[in-house]
Amino acid sequence: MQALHQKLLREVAQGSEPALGDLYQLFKDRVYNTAISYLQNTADAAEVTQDVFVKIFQSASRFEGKSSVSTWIYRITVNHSLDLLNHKQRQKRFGFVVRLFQHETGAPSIELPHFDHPGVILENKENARILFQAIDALPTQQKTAFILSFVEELPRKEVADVMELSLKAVESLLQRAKANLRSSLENIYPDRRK
Amino acid sequence: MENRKDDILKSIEGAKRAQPDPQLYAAIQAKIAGIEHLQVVKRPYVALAAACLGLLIFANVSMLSNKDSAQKTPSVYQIEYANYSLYQ
Repeated sequence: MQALHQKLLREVAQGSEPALGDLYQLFKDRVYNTAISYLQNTADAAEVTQDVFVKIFQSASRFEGKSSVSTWIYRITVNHSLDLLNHKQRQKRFGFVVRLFQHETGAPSIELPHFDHPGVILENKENARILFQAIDALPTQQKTAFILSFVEELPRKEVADVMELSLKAVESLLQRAKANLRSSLENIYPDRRK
Repeated sequence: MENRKDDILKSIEGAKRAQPDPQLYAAIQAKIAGIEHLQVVKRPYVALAAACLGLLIFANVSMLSNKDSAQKTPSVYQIEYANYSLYQ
């Protein structure tokens, strides 16, 4: 499979749009699923997916083959997702400041995301909704490690390659992510203690 | 409570990957075509810049060659002076 990916990427580097189409079919779900896990809405995930494949088309000639094609594409996806997420968070903060001065009572209004992952089975939907709220609050590196490991279900080695970290560092991030998620679950829904 | 948290943490296990809209690839193709068009449109500016430079060089060369021919033509003062040589 790796040989096929490299062959397609070489053709894309020569400007072949059919090769890009083939690469798109192979990777579209991975890219989109990763993006939607960060951004938690379909429009933003679609925007990131578009940007990723345009980037692939523009940068294919610069792929050096030091990593697998899959790792390279995941890395582009993570970077674009984080860029858009940071952009939206800056906008949200600015909106919060404006509301702070305009609101009569002075109480800030904070909207919690309400995201239903389309791939989760019906009986797990509510729990998954809560989980994604908690994932949204994780620090960036923990969020990335968690999404790649448990949403994308990548092997730990590939997660380490995508994040350009050691295996040990990834394991440490995952441990901290799970601890933070457990702590968040207490804060988001304290009534569930009963 | 711990069981509840475990249930929540495990809720995405086995979930299928989300899939993008089938029309998304057409949007990607349009974006790429737009970028390539922009790169083609930029080139006429290079041609315009080259034409301006050529014009500038031509103007300078013309001015220098006019200066040379001006030195070969006798000035008005020289002609006037020449007319004063009446008593020789």
